[in-house]
Amino acid sequence: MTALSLGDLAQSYSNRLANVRLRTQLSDLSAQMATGRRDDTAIVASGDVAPLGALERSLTVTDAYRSSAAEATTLFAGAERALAVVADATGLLGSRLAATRIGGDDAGIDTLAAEARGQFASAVAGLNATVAGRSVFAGTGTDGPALTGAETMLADIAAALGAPASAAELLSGVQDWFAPGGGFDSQSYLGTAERMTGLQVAPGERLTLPATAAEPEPRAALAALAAAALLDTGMLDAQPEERRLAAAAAGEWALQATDGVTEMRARIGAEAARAEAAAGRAAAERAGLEMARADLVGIDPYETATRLEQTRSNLETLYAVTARLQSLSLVNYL
Amino acid sequence: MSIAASLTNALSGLNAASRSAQTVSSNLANALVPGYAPREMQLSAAAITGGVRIEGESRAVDRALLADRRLADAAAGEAGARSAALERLAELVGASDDPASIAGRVAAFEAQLVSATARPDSTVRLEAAVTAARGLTAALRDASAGVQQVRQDADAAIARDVEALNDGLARVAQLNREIAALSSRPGAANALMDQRQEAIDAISQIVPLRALPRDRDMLALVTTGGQMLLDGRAWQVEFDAAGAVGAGSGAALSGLSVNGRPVTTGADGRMGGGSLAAAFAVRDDLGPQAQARLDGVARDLIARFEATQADPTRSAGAAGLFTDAGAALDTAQEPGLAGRIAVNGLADPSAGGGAWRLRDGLGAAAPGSAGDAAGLDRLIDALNAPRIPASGGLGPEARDMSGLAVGLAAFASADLAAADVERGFARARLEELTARELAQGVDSDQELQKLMLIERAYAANARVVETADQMIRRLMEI
Repeated sequence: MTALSLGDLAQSYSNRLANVRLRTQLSDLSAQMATGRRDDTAIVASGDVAPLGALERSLTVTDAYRSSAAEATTLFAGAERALAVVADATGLLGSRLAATRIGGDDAGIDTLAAEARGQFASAVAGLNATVAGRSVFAGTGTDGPALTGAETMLADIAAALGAPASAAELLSGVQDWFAPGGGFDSQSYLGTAERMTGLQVAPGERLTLPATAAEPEPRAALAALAAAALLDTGMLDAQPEERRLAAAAAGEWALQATDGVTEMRARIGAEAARAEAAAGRAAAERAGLEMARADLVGIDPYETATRLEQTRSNLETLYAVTARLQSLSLVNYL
Repeated sequence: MSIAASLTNALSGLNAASRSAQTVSSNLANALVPGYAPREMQLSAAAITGGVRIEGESRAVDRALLADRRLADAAAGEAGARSAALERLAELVGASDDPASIAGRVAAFEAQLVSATARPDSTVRLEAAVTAARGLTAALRDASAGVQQVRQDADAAIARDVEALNDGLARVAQLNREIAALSSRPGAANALMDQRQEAIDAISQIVPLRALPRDRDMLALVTTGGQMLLDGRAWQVEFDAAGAVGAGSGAALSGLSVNGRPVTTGADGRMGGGSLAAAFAVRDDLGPQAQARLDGVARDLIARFEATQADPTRSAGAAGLFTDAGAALDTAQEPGLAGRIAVNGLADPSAGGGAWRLRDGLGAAAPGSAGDAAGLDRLIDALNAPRIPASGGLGPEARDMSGLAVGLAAFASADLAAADVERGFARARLEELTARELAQGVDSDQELQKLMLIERAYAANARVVETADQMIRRLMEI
C-alpha cells in the first residue's frame, strides 16, 4: 500500500471475508443450539476423541451387563422358589415320618406313604422348574427337563429293587439307586453334569448357578421321599414292622435332606444377591457415564445463546458499515 | 520563433493530458479486475524545446508482495489438500461416538456376546451376535475400500494438476515470446503482462514458483525447491495416471518426472510444496498409513480369535471366528487385510453355517449343551484381553479390542486436528497477503483526483494555444 492510494477492492475483499466468517459462525452456533452438543470439529480440535470413544463403549456394554444381571436375578429367584418347594416337601413329611419310630398305627403309615408319593411328585416337579423357557436344574442342558416324571422314576426304582424282603433291603436298594453311578444317573437325570455357569453380570464377574438336580442335596431329598413313596407301591406290604422301620428311616433321611436343600438355597441366594448388586452398580454407572458424556460433548445453552446474539449483532453492524462505505466515494461529490 | 515553440509545447501538453486521460479511463474501467496492475503515465520534460515528453505507461506492481502471495497460495493449496484428505480418512474410521463407526461396532459386538451369555440357548441372541460381528467386518472392509478410493482420487488429482501445470507453462512461454517482440516500445505489452501474471497465478497453487526476470521483459519460472520449469522454453512435467489403486500397489504407481528426469515432491524435494506435493503425500504416505492402521486392527482382531484359549475346539492352523477371506491369518499377506476380513462361514447362518458354533466352538460337529455359556465367555475374554498390536503403528501399549478401535479413531482425528491448524495458518496468511495485494489495485478516488488535474492541465494548455493564436493573428494584422 503506497502512501497515496488504497485499492478499491481491498475493502470489499475484507468485507466479504468478514461476512462469510460471521455467517459460518452463525450457522454453527444455531446447529449447536438445535442439537445440544458441540459439533465434531470442536471435539476433534480439543483432542477429546479417545475419552469419548471409551465412554461410548462403556455405555453400550453397561446396558448389556445390566440386562444380563437382571436376567440372572430372575433365574436365581426362580431356582430359590423351586428349591423351597422341595424343602417344604421333605421338611413337613420328614418330622411326621420320623415320629412313626416311636409309635403309630399301620393305617397312619399307609396315609403317610400315599402323601409321600404326592410330595415326591411335587419335589420332582419343583426340580423340573423352568424360568423363561429353560430348565433351571438341568445343568447346561437347559433345553430339556432335568428329571423324568415322578411316576416313571418310581417305576424305575421299583423295577430295580424287585421285591425287597426287609426294610434294610429297601433302604439300601434306594440308596444304591440314588448313589452316583446308579440308576438315577443313567435313567432319571436328563441334564448334564456341568453347572450352568458363565452368566456375565459385570466386566470380569461371572456367576454360576450352584445347583443341578444331580447334586447330593436334591438326591438326598428325592431318595428320602422315594423311600417313603415306595411303601405306597406295594412293597413290604404284609410286614407292618418292616414298613414302620422303613418309614422312620425315610423320615430321618428327609430331615437331614431338608438341611442340605436349605443350604443349597442359601448358596443360590448369595449368588442372587451378587447379581442384584451388579445390576444396581450398572445402573449407577450408566448414570455417571451419561453425566460424563454430557460434560464432554454437551454445551451450555445460556453461553451458546449469548454468543449467537452477539454474532447476530456483529453481522448486522457489518451490513450497516458495508452500506455506509458504499456512498463514500469521490464520484458522488463531483 | 518562440511563439511557434510555445505552440509546440502547448500541443505536446495537450497530447500528454489526453494520453493521461486515456490511462485514467483504462484504470477506472479495470477497477473490478483483481489481477490488474494500475497503469501510470510516465512524463518528463522534453530536452530541446521545453515541452513534455511521454516516456510510456508503466505498470505499478509490487514484485515482492506478488511473490509472497504466490508462495502463500501454494502453501494454502498444500495445507488445504492434506486437510481435506485427512478429513475423508477420519470419516472412514468414524467419529468415536458414532455407533456405525468401527469403535461403535466393536462395542456392539461385545454387548451382543454379553447378552448371549445370559441365554446361550437362544438362537436369536446368537445370531444377533454373529450379525454384529459381520457388521464389524463390513465396517473394516468399507473403510479399507474408502482409503483406496482416496488414494485413487489423489492419483487423478495429480494427473489433473500436471496437465494444468503443463498447459500453464506453455501459455506463459507463449506470452513471453509475444512480450519480448514488443519490448522495444515501452508500455505496449502491458496488457500481455497482465495476462502473463494471471497465467502464473493460475499455476502458483500447484507448485510454489518464483518468477525471475530475464532480458526483454521475459520471465523465467523456477520452483522454490530449485527445479527450473520455464526459461525461454517450457520444461515438460510427466506423470502416468494409474488405472486402479489397490492396497499392495505402492511400487507400481508412477512418480513425477521433468523432461525425463525423476523429481521428488517431498518437503525438501524439487517439486515440494503446493497441491501437487500434497496429492503425492496423500497417495504415497497418508493413504498407506491409514491402510496400515486398518490392517493392523484387522490383524489384531483375527489373531485374538485364533489364540487357542479363545476356541479349544479349533484345530491348529484352522481359521478362527474372523478370517482372511475364509483362511487363517498369514502375516505375509497383511497389506490389504482389512479389505478381506470376514466372519468364518462355519458360524455365519447366511453362509450356511450355524450361529450355535459361537457357543460350542468352530470345531464342533453338532450343537452341544444349550445352556453352556463357557464358549461365549472365552470369546468375550479374547475380545477384552490386553494385547500389544503387532503392526500398523498403533502404539506400544497393550489394549483390548475396543481400546484399539478407539485408538484408531483417536490417531485419525489427531492427524486431522494438526492438519486443520496448519490449514488455518496458511489460509490466514494468504488472506492477509491477498488483502495487501488488492490494496495495490486501482483506487477510484485517486483516479478521479488525477482526472481533475488532467482536466485543468488540458484547459490551461488549450488556453496557451488560444493565446499564441491571438498573438500570431495580431502580427498578421500589421
